[in-house]
Amino acid sequence: MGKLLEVKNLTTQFKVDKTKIIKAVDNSSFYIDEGETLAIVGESGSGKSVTALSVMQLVPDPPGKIAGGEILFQGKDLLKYSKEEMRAVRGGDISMIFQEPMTSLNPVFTIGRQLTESIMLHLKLNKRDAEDRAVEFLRKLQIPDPVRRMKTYPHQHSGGMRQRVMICMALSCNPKLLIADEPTTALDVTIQAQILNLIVKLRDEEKTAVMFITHDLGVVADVAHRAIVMYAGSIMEMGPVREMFRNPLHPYTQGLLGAIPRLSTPRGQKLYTIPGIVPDLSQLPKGCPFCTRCDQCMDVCHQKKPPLRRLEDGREVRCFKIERGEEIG
Amino acid sequence: MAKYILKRLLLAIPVVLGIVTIVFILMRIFSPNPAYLLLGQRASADRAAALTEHLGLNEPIWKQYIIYLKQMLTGDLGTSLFSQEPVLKELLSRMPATIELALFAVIIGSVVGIALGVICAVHQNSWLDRICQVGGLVGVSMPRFWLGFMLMLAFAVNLKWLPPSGRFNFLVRPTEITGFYIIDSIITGNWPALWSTLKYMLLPGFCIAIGSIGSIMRYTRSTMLETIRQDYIRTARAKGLSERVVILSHALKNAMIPIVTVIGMELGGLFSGSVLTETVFAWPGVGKYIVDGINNSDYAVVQGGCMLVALISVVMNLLVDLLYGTLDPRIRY
Repeated sequence: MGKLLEVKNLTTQFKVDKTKIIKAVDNSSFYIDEGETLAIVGESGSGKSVTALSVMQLVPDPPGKIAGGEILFQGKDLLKYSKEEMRAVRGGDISMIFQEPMTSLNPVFTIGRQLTESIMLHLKLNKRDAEDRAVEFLRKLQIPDPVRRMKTYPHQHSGGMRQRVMICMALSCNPKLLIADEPTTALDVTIQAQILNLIVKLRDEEKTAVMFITHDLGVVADVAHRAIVMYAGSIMEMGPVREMFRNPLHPYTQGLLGAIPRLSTPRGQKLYTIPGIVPDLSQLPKGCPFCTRCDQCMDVCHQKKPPLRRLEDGREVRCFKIERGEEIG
Repeated sequence: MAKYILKRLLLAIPVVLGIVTIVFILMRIFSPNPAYLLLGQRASADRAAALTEHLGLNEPIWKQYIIYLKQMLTGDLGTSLFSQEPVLKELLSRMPATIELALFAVIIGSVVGIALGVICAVHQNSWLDRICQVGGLVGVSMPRFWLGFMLMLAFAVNLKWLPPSGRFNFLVRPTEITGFYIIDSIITGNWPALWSTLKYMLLPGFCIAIGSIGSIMRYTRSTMLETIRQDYIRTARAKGLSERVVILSHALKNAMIPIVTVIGMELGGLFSGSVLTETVFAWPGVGKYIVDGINNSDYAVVQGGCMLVALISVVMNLLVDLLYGTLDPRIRY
């Protein structure tokens, strides 16, 4: 399988005030194969959503700006596309689901209008055919009575139902890549499981590649083939989910996995936490961004930022503890 | 829906009654005895007393008030002391002039105001935005009577492009059918009259519109700025819609809800007569009628006029509220 999306050295920065610029995504490279699901994991502010928005070129500008790198989609650099060319990609070949189902649908238009809009635009269908297709997809997403729903407004639906409509909107134009930015975070747990199952089912049916952004490692284990762990704008570790969970290489990944409460944890034992808080992006430590919270921190970690290394098995990690493999940036 | 409208209209009764009462009392406290105004300052005390008696002004205020209310219930708003015409008839004959001018001004104000507001919001902090904001502030804060005289001086006196005041030229006046001269001249195909009507309307219309443009523009800008940061606008962009569709369809329809309130309030105020503008430009509308009534101590005119103003405001507010329902599906009555 070929690479569907290849991001090379992406740097996205935000202007905080007249003199201060922060790098929300710092020199990050990764790829997604056709039909593959890649999870991007990290805490709030780690740059995972900005990475997604950068691919879509929806970073609010100003203050945000893609400062460098390449975003190759099917071999072509999206950053070199004109506005019109990029619009054709957005919602067509690459579509996106957002975190907030309650506010992501336009309150003054019917579900039907919002669904058919992109179908008519990207698949060049007339209104009636677009409506048929929208109804078909609503049915696929197990939304009861889809014909009637088309005429309803977002406020008449629950959060889970609205997120289904968002997914329907994102998938109805046969995207090759679906970017799901924390699609289940705002939903309660039972609905979360339903929505995840739907995404996985449709992904398998339509053979869509998925970039799945989440901070929930349980979700990662359920849906993703490979995962990237981000911290303060940098990729810390990348590898197949199975191996990463079995043998996390980076202290941060180890910390994240250690922080998951387990049924086997003895009663009364305190749950593990990573000490400290995420550093302010404008005041990153000089060396490794994680050094202030790392329990295996060495002197060199304070001096300079560790390079990302690719190991023999293809996993990547950014830590001085790992000295195998080749430096890739 | 019908129930809601009926309820709102019933609620209007105490509002209108309250305003009539306040105006009734104020006129009798602060206005000079109209008998002297009718007879002239040098009228003998006997004649003035006789006329006062004849007009029923010697009765106690509460008795006068009850008499007035009784009349009002039968649809009689009294008679103007000076023209000896029924007030209702005079008010109705002046309404078209006021409504025509108000619509003219508000249509200009809304179209220009919304367009500029949207442009400013999309290009926030550009030089155009800054100029518009300062211009809007000036437009809102400029006193209308002063602006009226300045416009008159520039375009009527110095440049002689437009007539300085009034509503029509006797030589090319359209045949009155509806009382709305623009409509009348179009119905009768009287194009010179249409041209002349527009020329007369231009100065007072712009005098009002400049203020409306300012407030509608600033309001549109701020609501648009808020709207274009909403998640659903990001969704619209993520769908690949063009910026034009995103702004003019997805964002503007949401922003229209508060904008409609401002336009409705503006229109409500103007339908009851832009008092200053009508006076400056001798526009024969309701506003000027009320001002003349105050100057003449013409009780019935002022009371009737103010009642109409109150009624119009209430109805306009109701219309705006009903319009919300068509703009925002979350609002149902």
